[in-house]
Amino acid sequence: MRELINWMRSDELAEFLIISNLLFILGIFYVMMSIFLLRRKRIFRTKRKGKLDALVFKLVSDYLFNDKDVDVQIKKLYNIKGYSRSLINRVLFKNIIQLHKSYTGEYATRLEELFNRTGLKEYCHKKLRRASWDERQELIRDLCEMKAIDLADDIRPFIYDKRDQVRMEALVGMTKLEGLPFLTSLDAYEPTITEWMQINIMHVVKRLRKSEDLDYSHLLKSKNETVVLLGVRLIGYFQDITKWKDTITDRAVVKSPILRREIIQVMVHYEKMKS
Amino acid sequence: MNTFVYIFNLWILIFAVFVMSSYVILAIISAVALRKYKLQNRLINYNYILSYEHAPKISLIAPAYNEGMTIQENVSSLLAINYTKFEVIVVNDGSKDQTIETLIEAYNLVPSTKEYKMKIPTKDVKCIYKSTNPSFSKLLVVDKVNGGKADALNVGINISQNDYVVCIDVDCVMDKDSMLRLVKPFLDKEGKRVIATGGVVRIANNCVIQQGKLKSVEAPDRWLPRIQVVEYLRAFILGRMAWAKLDGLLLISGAFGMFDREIVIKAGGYNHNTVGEDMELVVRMRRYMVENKLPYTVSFIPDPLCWTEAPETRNIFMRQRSRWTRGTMETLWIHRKMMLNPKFRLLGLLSFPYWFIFEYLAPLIEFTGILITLIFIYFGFINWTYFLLLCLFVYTFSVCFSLCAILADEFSYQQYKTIKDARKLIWAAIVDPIVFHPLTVIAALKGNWQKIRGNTQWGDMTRVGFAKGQKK
Repeated sequence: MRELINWMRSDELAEFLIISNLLFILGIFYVMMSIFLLRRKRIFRTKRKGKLDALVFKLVSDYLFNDKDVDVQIKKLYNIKGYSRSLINRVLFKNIIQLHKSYTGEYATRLEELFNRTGLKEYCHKKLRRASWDERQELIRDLCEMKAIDLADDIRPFIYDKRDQVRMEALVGMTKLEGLPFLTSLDAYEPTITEWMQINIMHVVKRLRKSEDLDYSHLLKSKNETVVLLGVRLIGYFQDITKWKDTITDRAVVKSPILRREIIQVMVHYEKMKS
Repeated sequence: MNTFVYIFNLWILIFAVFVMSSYVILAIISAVALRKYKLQNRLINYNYILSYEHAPKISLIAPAYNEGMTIQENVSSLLAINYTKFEVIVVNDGSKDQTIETLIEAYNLVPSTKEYKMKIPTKDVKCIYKSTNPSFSKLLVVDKVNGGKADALNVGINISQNDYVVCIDVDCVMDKDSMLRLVKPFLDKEGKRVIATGGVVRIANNCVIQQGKLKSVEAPDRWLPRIQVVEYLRAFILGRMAWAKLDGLLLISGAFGMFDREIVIKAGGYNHNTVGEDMELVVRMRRYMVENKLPYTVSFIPDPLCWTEAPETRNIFMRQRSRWTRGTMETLWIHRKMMLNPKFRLLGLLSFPYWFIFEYLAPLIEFTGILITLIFIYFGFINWTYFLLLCLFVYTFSVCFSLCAILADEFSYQQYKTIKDARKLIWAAIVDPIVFHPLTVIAALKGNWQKIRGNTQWGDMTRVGFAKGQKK
């Protein structure tokens, strides 16, 4: 205490306060300028990107709806002045993805062709391994949206990724690429499929068409209760209860209350249907 | 005497450095957590929850007291939320105006046969109404004897049959995806039970609101609400986010929060005997979980989910803040057993002492410091150089910290988009320590005084209210 009091009596305290004040004042100016600069930059970038977005959209739409030649359109795209190639790639990629989500059939196929011809697919594939986890998540999502079936083997290992987000994206993406057989082959899958992951998977499942009888036996026998839950939900959704009711009932003694509730719901629904 | 002066100065300096360091540490934790949250959630499509048949069912509970002027529009806004499995329970807490009559007329309400089961003790329920119009099938209105906000919320919890309840101020404006975002943590956690989720509350003064929906955001023109915008940014973005990351969050704003109904009931519901019922409930739920050795967590969503009107006049502001002080005091006192109790881990060893020292004691210490300084000035003991340097030290830090909160918003949510808004908020940060902060200190002292005198009243919270399609 005595030392502290002596320190306060000395000029050192005043020096400490003066330096701190100067630092804080500098900090104030720095943060203030950052706020203004960031805001200006954002306004400028939004305007600039908006212009590019409109140009790219027009070129892609011309190719898609007016049957313009793909090579001519690609050439025009990369000749847009004042923008870097990587920015054009990003904007083009987003445009293709957005349009692909809105169209099926011939238009979707044409967009996939554009995706291949512009070299975006190759670019994404190369980036997939060395990207950070958040970029990887986005790449998996976009590649699967664009039906890059030939890349399925590269995406599959990510269903075991340590990050929930990447794992989920890979599960959802693989379901998009390989359909329901992918899900029924998850019996040995060990990581937890959280409720949020199940929501995302079921969302994709609802867009898939079930052409053949699915074999849920492995899913229902899985040691992972979240995999069993997914199996029960698939059975419930596709109304495949009659064939699998005995196996489901066998699995009714489980720890997970959600799974128990789900089994009861499916069975109640089955009984209602029967009567 | 000289030594005493130095010891006093030393304590003031140590306290100031201690407070500043804790703010900086919390801000760093918040910044990291915010960045992580943004990265993890940037690709999420919340609408998937809408088409999910297993999505949690929720009950929105909105207590109303003398809201006759705005109730119809506010309830319409609640009924229009973007969620599928929900019901809206409006609890008329014995309003003296025409609140219930307005509701009956606007929504074609008739008495329902629904039975009232009192799982949490409450004042008497006069009548439960349902609408005869199928468009309002999700609406349930309860008319009850006046018992305060906590009592009204408990009635809503008793009536609800869903797994989750959202307690909301009836005049709050919700963001489009608020419910979806609030529900997600309940679907996302492994192992631990999520017992509550809180969201960021933002200030709606000067924002354009049409038909209960937020159309555009603008920083308030008036100084008091404008400074509160900066204060809320500091509290929510640089404070609560860090506490949530540490799993030591003690408060979910009473204006907007989602709770696991089963745990709320087991913990005993809202406490009638405190004006800080929102904080008290969260603390009691946490205490219940720890005492019963149940793994749990409380989530926090940094997205701006709910917009509320901040007090525009000094009197109403002071009333609100003195009530907050009383609420903090009461909660800390009711749960004093948790203070420094290792059984409650971070909650008892860090969150509780932090709230006690920095939220409750800080204004009192500050006031004592000012008082002693004035005495020193009177007797000529003051070292003016040191005094002015210390004042500048606190002031510059305070401005710098507020600006960091604005910058954090700029990096994350950019709610205020124009240069004009940035200028307004920066001015607010500069003025805040001189004008606004002394008011909060006085309000805190007033809160303590009211508590000593046994005041348990909420006090009127007159709001300017919505003007249709106009700025709020």
